[in-house]
Amino acid sequence: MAEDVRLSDTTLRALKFLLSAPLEGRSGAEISKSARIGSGTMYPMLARLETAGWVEGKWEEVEPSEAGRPRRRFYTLTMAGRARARAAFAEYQVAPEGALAWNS
Amino acid sequence: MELLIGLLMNILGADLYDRCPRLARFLIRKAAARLPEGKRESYAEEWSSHLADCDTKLDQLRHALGCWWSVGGILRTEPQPKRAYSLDALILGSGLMLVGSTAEAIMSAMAGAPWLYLVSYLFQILPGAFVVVLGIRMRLKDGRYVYI
Repeated sequence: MAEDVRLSDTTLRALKFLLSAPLEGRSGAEISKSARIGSGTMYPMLARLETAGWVEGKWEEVEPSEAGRPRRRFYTLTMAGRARARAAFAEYQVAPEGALAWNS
Repeated sequence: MELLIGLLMNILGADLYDRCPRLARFLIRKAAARLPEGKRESYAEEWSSHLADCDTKLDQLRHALGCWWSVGGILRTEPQPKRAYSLDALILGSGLMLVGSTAEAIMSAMAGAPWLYLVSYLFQILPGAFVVVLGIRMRLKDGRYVYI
């Protein structure tokens, strides 16, 4: 059961990016670049979303010694997370300039 | 002279820029060390992989500073240690209220109850007053108890 999460502008941007390909795992670097969120805000936010059951993180299945780099952690929306995110977006509408506004 | 200063600043800037990845790795190690033991390695690995995906050296430094900053937020998502009122702490608190000298109060503060020390110190200033103080016993993750 997914718990409630405070939906800030950055959280919504990250959720929007994850919803763009809900079954595809996205690394922290991808989320940071695409949703324009700094690491300082993004990692606590992902931790909150993971604790609340909205997203789940899975480690990349590569051997760091073979890949020559550390393993990435990929985040995907859970079923409950997808439903909650879609419901949250239904309450909002995206203004043409990209700003989020309440859907009256 | 200005040309020389400019040249030196340029060299210094280039040197600092070259050191960014090393500084970033250092910051990530230190940031991960501030996390609880069970999370250190996973975050260090995740942040290091993110570091490898950064486009420029300045991006790497920015990311590492962000990781350092994010520790506070990640710690807030951790379950907080249980706080519980306990009889032994209540007795300790009441006992400390009867402390008559600063020396004894300092000793009590050193025993792990600094705010009770403050109350007992105030008690000396206001003789005759009696304040019931509840001690709070906090259980840490490793099973130890701390009195506050």
